[in-house]
Amino acid sequence: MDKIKAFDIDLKRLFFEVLKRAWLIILVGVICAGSAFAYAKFFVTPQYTATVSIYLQNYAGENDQKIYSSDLSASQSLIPTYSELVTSNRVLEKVAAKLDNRYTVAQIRNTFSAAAVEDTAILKISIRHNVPEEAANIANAIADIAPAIIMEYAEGSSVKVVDGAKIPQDISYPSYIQWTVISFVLGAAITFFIVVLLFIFNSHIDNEDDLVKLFDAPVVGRIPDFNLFAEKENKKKRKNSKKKSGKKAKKSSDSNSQAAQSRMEVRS
Amino acid sequence: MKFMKKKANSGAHSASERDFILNDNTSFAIDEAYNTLRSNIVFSMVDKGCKVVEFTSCKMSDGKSINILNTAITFAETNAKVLLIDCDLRRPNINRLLNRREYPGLTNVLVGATTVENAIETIDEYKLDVLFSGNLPPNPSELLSSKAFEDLLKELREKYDYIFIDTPPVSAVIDAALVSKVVNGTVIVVRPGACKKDEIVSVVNQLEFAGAKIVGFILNGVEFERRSKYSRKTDGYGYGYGYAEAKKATKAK
Repeated sequence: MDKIKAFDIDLKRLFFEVLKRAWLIILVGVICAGSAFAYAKFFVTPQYTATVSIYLQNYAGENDQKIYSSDLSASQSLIPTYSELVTSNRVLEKVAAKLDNRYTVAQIRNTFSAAAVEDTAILKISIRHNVPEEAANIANAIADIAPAIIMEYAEGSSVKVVDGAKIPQDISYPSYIQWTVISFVLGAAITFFIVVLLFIFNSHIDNEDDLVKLFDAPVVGRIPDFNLFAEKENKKKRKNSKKKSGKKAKKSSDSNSQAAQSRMEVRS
Repeated sequence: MKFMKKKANSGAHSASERDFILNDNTSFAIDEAYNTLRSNIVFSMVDKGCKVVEFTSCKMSDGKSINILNTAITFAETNAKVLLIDCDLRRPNINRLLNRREYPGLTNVLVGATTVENAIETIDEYKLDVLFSGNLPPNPSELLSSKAFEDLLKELREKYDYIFIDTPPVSAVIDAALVSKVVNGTVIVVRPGACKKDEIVSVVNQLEFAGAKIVGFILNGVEFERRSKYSRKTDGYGYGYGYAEAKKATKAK
């Protein structure tokens, strides 16, 4: 016999092995998705986000009630600065006071996020809270207080509220769909990865190909698994006998109905 | 993580293995599997004279004994003179499959306690002669590597067309490698999912080192596709409806 040949990974066989385990991959994905959904629904406090839009106009030259392109560029570039000003202690302390000191400055700062609307001089301030009304209240309080303080610091600028915060109706966090989908994908992907790894590192002889790859000697016999074969044969026999008894029952009911019909004809 | 792997079909106990001995009720597919094995063995050993074939395996419960018995029965069906010798002198199984005592047998012949004619039992049902293991000895390897065993085989070669020898798994003991020196060919029985690649490589290396001529492998316990590409959809078997029934009718005659 020649020396033992090296073996390689059969991608086609890997594909069919993964296909055989597809039920497991999907099942694990579904379980993960279900668990994530249940966790999000019952264990995570839903959060609501209220948003306020503020228009910031900085006058680069004289404030002659005309807007120049340089003014717009200046405004956009200053938005990060204004965003920081909004979260300053001076602003937030006044916001806390306006809200009857129900929240500390730190608590308000933790709910705060700001983002510039791209290519505009508009700053959107978002407040996240587990009570939708409070989210709107805090956002509107900031919108009431922040403009005046920003204008104090940025002389010659104009800060106006574009949209006040409305009471949010929908949950902003967690996103049930996002969590469910991501969990499904993660669960399925990890299971798929494990199946592939087990296949690659499978060190057992599973079929003829494994022997053929290792040795030059042929496979001279392929004997069926007796137990499996017997089960299949029994199933087939049971299926056939059911079909036969079904046909017999149908035949006898047909013949009975024919006999009944002929009796009726005779009587009539 | 074991559930992720394909479960290796486990070996059957002797009592239920008796159900797997070829008989008139064996399905056509299993009959054909053994007929194919017979043809392959015949074509692998074209030298004239008696063919002595050894069956061994990687591990216990690979189905070696039931397969060698069925193979011997298949050869006997061709009206050839066939002898089956149970050389597993540590855990003999042929007598358990055939529901017989293991003695008198090979070991009794080798030590001169009886003659080979007295020890060989004819199983009329299968038209097969069987030499069981005999009383279990304390020194099986020595007996199998003895000149007495070699001479016995030479004597039996004159009387039979085929001699099949059941030996222990190679991974367990050296007996199969010792017997391989005096046989024409060695067949290795492998059960899918049960044997690791490095284990089978080690088995083959050991046999080759002993000078064995490896005829081939038997895959025992494959998931069998009942329809071949040559069958019509209405057929349950590979060679056309009615062939199986015709074959069984011929057997019954």
